[in-house]
Amino acid sequence: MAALNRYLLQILGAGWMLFLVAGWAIAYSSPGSVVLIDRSYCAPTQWQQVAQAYERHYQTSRLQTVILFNDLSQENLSPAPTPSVVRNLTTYGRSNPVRLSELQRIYPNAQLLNCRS
Amino acid sequence: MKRFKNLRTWFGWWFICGICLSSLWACGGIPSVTSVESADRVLHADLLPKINVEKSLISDAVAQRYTVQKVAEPLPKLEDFPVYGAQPSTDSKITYIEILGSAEKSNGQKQDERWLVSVAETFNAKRVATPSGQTIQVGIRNVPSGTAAQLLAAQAVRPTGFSPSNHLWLQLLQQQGLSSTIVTPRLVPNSAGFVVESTAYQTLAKGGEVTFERLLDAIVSGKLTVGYPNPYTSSASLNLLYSLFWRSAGHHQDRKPLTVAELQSPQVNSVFDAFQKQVLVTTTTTLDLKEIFIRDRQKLQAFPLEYQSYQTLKKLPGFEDVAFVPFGVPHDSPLIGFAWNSPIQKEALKQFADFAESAEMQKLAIAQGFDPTNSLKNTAPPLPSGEVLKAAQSFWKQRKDGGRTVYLSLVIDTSGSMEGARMQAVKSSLRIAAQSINPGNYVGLTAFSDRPTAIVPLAPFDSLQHQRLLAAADQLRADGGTAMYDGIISGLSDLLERKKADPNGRFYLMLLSDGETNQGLKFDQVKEVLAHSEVRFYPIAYGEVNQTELQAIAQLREATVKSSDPQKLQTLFTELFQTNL
Repeated sequence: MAALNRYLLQILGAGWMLFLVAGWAIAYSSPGSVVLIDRSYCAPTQWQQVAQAYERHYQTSRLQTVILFNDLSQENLSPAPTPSVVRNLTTYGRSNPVRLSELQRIYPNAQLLNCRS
Repeated sequence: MKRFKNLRTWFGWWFICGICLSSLWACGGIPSVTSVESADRVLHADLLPKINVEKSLISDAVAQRYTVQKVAEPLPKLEDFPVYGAQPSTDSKITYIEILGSAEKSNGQKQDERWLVSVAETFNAKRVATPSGQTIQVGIRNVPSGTAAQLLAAQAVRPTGFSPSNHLWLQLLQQQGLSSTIVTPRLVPNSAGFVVESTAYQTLAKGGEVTFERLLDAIVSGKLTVGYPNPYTSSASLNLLYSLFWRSAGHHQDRKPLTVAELQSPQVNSVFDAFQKQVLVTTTTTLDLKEIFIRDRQKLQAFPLEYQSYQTLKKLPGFEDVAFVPFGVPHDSPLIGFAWNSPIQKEALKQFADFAESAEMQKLAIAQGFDPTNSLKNTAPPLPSGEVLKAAQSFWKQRKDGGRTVYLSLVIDTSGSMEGARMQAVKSSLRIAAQSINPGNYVGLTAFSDRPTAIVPLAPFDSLQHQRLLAAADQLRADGGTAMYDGIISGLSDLLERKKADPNGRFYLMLLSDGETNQGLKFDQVKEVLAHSEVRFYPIAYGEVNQTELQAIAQLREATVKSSDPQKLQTLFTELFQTNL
């Protein structure tokens, strides 16, 4: 009887272990998502909407990289910044469609957040 | 008897011990100051109780007797700027021509800033004659480009020629209706650029070639602190301002010049605001910035300079690795002549320009550090209209503080030695310079002689505060000793009080003194409080003053001592107010 109980516990333990390993493998083998944030000038009220959208992404997906860009610059942030950092970002300058197209070509699945969307 | 002797010895020892302990306690001095909060605490607990601040505030009834109508700003006197090469002559056998030349090439006192003077001296020695047989003699007057443009626009001077650092000043003059002819678009090639501290440059260089765009990006994204001089007077600064606006408007793609309307767009405004957040200091001259950079390049990491001045900077020990990132329109030193020139003067000016452009003189320019590469040829922005430049200067004046309020406490020496011309100059300079204060910024005035006297409380600059300042200027009287640090502490206490309510404001204390402190607090007693107050001090050494302590005060934060006298005070006040208020 005791041998049977030990055997059952071993099966149960091994099952849980396999379950955890599979979960970990699924979580970390899939690529994290990339978010492109257009930080060209945005009125403060509109920027709060961009920040809220980012917060939703931050909480629901595993963000790997955030790319901030505008006409003057491009900055890759990894790990992804917290929502409060994005909320307090200074927006300045013009949007740059050429840079945006290039980024979307490199990261076809990236989520774009900007003032105009 | 022996017992009495012992008792006396014991008493003596205990007495000495007591004296020593009391002295130690008394000399313990000011408690340690490590922050702005402790500076404020020590100021109130230890320093203010030691001084007697008199209150003689200007009443509103008195203030309202003064009118704030715009007073014409007196122009600088041409005679204050030295002439090198030939001196003015009325000899009928000589054709004398005088050229107003910018400082980086017309300073006869400095070996690396005297190229145009050397050209004139060599030319004069050749005794070149006009077709009518008169000998041409050239005088070079060293006048900063912005000041010369101001004098010419006001039609206060009539030189034969004008050679500013770049073409932007000519655009401004054209907009103001001054008729001129270009004798040569380029006397000598040069460029303006950002001098960048070596470590910051190397960090940027890891990401590729460091261009003006990449530098600008680093600045606006908060990675670099910069300083620059007043764009109303500095060529490099006016060029920087225009280049910043032009690039922010996206014209690097279409190469079109900037328009006035674009200056108002939020896209351009937002870049300027982000840039201004990184501005550590705005000075009246480039020389001040150079001094601050040499003193502390970790704080001030980049500032604009002419290429040839950068060459001089690099020769200083420890500065061999500073980098130069060129920007904007070339600094080609154009030479223009004027409609009032006689045909002989026109011919003489042309002959001089040809000589300056000769291979021999251009070789001399390269030896003096000028930039022959013309590296900006393909990236330089097109020349804007004078209207755009004028709008850009006004825009800068209005928005330079980026929404932050400026608080300035004026602390003025009214000791007996200020009697006469010195005091008169202070009064008239205050009246004129007050016109350069942006509404909403705070200004207050404290005078000091035997003790400090609060005359105008620190309050927002509006029509009434302007009137109070005018009335205060009128009421200043010279008498008594020099309790300078008592005056500083009184002015500083007002600023620290305001700082509690507005920690993000900009806090300045402008100190004018013509003598050494002979009463009240001493520097050692206040030094730590000043150092941790987060207030920037602008000391003005008025007349023959021992500047050692004033230098020490200026060096507490990013500032320099300004030397002045009654003749130059009005210009200095106006420039300081224009730049900081």
